[in-house]
Amino acid sequence: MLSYDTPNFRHDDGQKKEVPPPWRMALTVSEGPKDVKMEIATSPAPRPDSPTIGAGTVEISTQDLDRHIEKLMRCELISEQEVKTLCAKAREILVEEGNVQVIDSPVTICGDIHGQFYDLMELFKVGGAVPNTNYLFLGDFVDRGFYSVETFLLLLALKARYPDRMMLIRGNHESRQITQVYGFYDECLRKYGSASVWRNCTEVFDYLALAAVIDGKVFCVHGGLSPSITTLDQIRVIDRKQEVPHDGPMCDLLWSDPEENSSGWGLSPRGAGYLFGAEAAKSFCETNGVDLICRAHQLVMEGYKWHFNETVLTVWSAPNYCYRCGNVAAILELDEQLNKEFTIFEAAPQENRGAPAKKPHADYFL
Amino acid sequence: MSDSQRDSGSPTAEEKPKENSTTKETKEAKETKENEKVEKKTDSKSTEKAKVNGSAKDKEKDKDDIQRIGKPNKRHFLDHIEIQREALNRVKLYVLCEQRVWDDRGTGHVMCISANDEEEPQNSSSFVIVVRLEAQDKNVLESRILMDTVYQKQQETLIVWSESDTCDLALSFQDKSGCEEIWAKICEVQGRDPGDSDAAYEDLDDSDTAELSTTTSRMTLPPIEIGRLSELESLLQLHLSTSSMREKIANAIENEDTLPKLCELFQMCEDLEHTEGLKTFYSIAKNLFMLNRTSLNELLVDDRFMKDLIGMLEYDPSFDTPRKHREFVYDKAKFREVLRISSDELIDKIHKTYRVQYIQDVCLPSMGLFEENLLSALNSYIFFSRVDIVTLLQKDKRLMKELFEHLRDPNTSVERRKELALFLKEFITLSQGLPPSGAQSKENFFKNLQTNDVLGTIEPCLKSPDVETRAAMVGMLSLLVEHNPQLVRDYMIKQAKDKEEGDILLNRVIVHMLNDKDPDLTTGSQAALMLKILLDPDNMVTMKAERSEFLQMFYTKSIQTMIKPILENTEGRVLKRDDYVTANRQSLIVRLLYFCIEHHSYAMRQFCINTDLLNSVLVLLQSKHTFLSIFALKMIRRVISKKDEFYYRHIVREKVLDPVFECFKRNGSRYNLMNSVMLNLFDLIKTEDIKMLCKYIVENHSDVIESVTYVKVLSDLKLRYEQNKDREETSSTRSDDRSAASSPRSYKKERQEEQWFDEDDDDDEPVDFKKDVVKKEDTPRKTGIEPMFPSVLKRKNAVDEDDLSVFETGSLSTVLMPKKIVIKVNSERSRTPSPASPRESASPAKSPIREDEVSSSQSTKENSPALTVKSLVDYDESDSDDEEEASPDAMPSSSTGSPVQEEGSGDKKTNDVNSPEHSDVSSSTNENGDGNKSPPDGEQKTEKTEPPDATTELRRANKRHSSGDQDPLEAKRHRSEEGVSEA
Repeated sequence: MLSYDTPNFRHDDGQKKEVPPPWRMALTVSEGPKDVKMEIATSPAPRPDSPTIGAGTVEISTQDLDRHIEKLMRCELISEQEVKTLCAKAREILVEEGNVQVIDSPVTICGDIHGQFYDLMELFKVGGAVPNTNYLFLGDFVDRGFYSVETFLLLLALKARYPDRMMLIRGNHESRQITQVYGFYDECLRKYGSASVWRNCTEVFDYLALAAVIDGKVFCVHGGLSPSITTLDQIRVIDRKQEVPHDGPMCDLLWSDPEENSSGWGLSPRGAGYLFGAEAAKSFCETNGVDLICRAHQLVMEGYKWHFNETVLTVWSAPNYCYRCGNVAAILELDEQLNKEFTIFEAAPQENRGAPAKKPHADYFL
Repeated sequence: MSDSQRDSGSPTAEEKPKENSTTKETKEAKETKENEKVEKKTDSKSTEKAKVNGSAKDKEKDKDDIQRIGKPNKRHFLDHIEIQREALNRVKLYVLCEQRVWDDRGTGHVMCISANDEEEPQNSSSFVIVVRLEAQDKNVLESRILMDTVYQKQQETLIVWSESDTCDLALSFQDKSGCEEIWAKICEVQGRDPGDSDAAYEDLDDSDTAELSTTTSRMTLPPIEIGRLSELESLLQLHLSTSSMREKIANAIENEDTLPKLCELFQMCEDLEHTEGLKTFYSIAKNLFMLNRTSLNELLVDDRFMKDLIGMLEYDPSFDTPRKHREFVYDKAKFREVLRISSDELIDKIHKTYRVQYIQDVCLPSMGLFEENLLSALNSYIFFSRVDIVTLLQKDKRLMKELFEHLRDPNTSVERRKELALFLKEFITLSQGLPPSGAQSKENFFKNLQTNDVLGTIEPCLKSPDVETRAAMVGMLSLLVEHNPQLVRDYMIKQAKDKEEGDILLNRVIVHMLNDKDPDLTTGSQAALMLKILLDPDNMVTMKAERSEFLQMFYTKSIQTMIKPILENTEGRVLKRDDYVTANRQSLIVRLLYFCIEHHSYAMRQFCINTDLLNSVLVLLQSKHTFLSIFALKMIRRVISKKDEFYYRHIVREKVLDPVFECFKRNGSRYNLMNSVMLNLFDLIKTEDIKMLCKYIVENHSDVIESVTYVKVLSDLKLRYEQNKDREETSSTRSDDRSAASSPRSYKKERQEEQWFDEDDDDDEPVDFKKDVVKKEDTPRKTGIEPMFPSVLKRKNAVDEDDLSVFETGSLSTVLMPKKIVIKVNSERSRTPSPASPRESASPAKSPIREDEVSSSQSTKENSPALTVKSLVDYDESDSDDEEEASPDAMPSSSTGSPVQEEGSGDKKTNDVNSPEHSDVSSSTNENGDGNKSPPDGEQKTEKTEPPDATTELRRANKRHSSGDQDPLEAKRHRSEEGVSEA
């Protein structure tokens, strides 16, 4: 086992990649089936006790999903109709997830991706291919990079294909307003010729979980803490199916940042969320029996960064952010004992400008 | 692009876009005044930099003069400085100006000299490159090293740079090490690494530096032959980096008649199947477009060359096999001349625009966010072509007449109608690019359409059995509605006169929406978006009477059509069909209902209560499609957050919450979205202290309350209920006093109310309730804007059910309450307390009376004179939906905004500000408040690790989203894309 927190320049060694046990969808209260074990990682969590959920109501075959994944892995687009079906399927899966998704180790935690598709490929190279590694992505899949559409759709297709091995939670960029300013909207328009793909994707954003807890010990969220949230149960009462609000607990979870020099709460220069200090982090951990708060949201040149005596951790997974920041990226692997192992990786050699943007219409009137 | 510029926190994003935009501007300036520019440029440059002896223009007039930076004393100094004369620094100076050949300016010795001058422009260094002629003691070059000049070292003995936009210089060294020495000096001054001379050129992909011939005689293009194609390729590549270089090579290509030769050679290559050569052609063709020169583009898309260029672009090396662009563009793509276009010019233009669009969309690589304007010239070419097409089409009177006449003619065949509809839609889509003002403006375009009675075409087209025709019409109608909703409303009102319900245009649109064949409802949601715009009171800017006329039509003639599928599907409180398509369609209806609840307080409330709509909608909770159930829940949540006690009474009476609790129980304790949405709903009732609902829940669903132990919400709700009960008991005596003191009239009415609502055992309840509601609405976020200011209200337009929730944050106490306009649909109904309403079923004639009732009970509290209240009137708009109830003598027929009505609400406010309960309502506000109070030591040192989006991202987005004076385009986009997206 490698030591805890030294960065570890490592390439895919292949040897370690035995299939870890799939995640269980643990439930907080005993009433439900406590151990719904996913026997095959390919089907969405069956919930036999649920009258509201029939067997998959959206028809999409595993073969189709595999085809989409294969295509998207090549950074090629799937058709608009396929996007719609995929989104509907994803919605169906995500709607069954809690605001704080409870997941089990082992798991690899990844920070912001921001549409840097080829760097995401690097991430999978160093972190392991998807059904073999459990992933938790901390949001901000889109905007700024050249391939937000491909990136998000790939992650979504993987989620639909391996719902218990891919966890996606919401970042502040998974928002209608933000994506209109920072590129995802324009990219959809350019690549599909209409905003309908954007509409479908942003609809899916509303269903994404807000946070995750690993083995009850590691609290994962995109931004940070909120002064209105002292216990995890308070997050449960949030109606997350909405555009990211401008304030309030849901907004804070996605927007806050740790601030080294303060202890409690401070105003965030971002205009949303708060700055939380060591004291706030400590009391949150104590109240909820959590050892570590893992988050993304801020560029760190070294890929990851500890705060507050290792109670808060920032993980950043977009190397050479915006293709110009020159930073490295990191992912955090947690094994069954929650031992931490960081893997640093660099940007893909060259962002290749692949596929043509649009399908032209064969008939034209004007 | 624009975003990175706005992005203050970005570490690097700033530079490039700016550079690009300036070069772009310069370029445009150049293209307009080609001649003037040359002079000007050289002049301006020369003052801040150096000049070369006899740069083309000046050559004749001052034969032996050196050009250099301004001041005489300076010249003096440089003239007399000592320059070593060795083999090491012996150079030949070449100048490249207009002639596009390198001109030898003599041999001399070079030195890099420090010459401090405070008046220099900021970006220059204090170092000057000086060349003194060998033969004479005279400087032939004095060039200051600017920080942004790109120097290139080539071939070990050559240093090349652009002195100005029109003048390039090269120093050819006799000695390698001498070259290195000067090069090192330049790099030092510019703070660069001398090692990577190649990388010195920004964006310069591995260009072949070995090509001396191309460098020294750059503008003489290499001969166009197969063996030397790669020379041209690398030359092009080399010249992409700066605007001046692009211009230079573009000029060369235009002037030397390169294109015909290239095309000829390309055809030859294809015949020979010369694969390597063809790939080179791809690169050349791509870069020709990337030169981004307007004049060159005109040539490239000329019919003589375009086909071959498209052919070249087929050989994209990133694809294994050549792509079939020509086959598509010239064979497969069909121009469908639906209407005879008499002008050949126009037809040519249409063809060409289609092809250029194809080149941009398909052949050329897609540009990323940061490089959008690399193809700006091509973009504007397409843009202006479109404007031309629209203009020319409009001029064709015969064509316009034929188009609209045939569309309106009920006898036009289905197939023909479809073609015409698609044509019209494309026509209008093209017009979207028109400028907002001027002769060719969008405004004029729409006026012209109206003159041709464009709205008259809608009805016959929506009757068409062809789906595509109807979809095209809905698309077109959407654009019209976005442009001017009132116009369409007026037309619809006029059209609806004397028509059966089925024939009303509005209903046709609704029916179209409901019958969208596509399971994902592409045009259905478009229709829904459009309906929302039509139904939005905020964009109804005309007279009040006209405003309500449309809504009246909607509520009397159309809403039944709209909700029919839901009513049918939920008859007998059982969900009948539950397939995906049905679920999707019904979610569309629920979202529209949500919108109506939000925006049409009075009419919608009446409708909901009279038809028991809420219970019908809640049958959808039985659906296996969770998203549909969630929409239904959200609709109920919206109702509850309206703080309208008529709704509450209805909810209690009709047991509306029962299905919610059933659903809650069915869902069990599973932690999923449903669970959270319902908990959130209960939390709302708790935090808002909605006593009536609190009571109902505790008294009817105690089993659920007991069972939920994983969160405190429900037990808190119970606690709240018990507290209220206690408080009511202790305060009952006081309230008796108060009611006794109130006016006899209101007292009487209160009595009356009791008779109506036996279940209300507490006199005080309505009063208390009012109090609470108003108090909570008194939020710090209130903007104090009356619903009469359309600019601000626009925002609501953009906002939608999901976006609206942007303003609601768990507790309503922080909510910016949306401003409402109450529109009375049927004044008769509210005036007479008798069961006048024709559709009344569940609650015969109760509501009107209740209205009076409440307002009078209100007045029991308010003894303050109306005058003091007046000042508050303008401020308090958020509870305007209570207007009717609030006003003691509400004129039921009047519309919103009369001062009389608002007095009431103002009064309530005065009372409630002082309410002792004020503080215990909202937990989250307080907490937020704490956060704000904490010492602002959060003053950010913006550290390196701050991501570009760190600082003002949301603030900006907020602003964009909410500011009334936002850029109209953005606002537009908002409305049409985002808000509306959520049908």
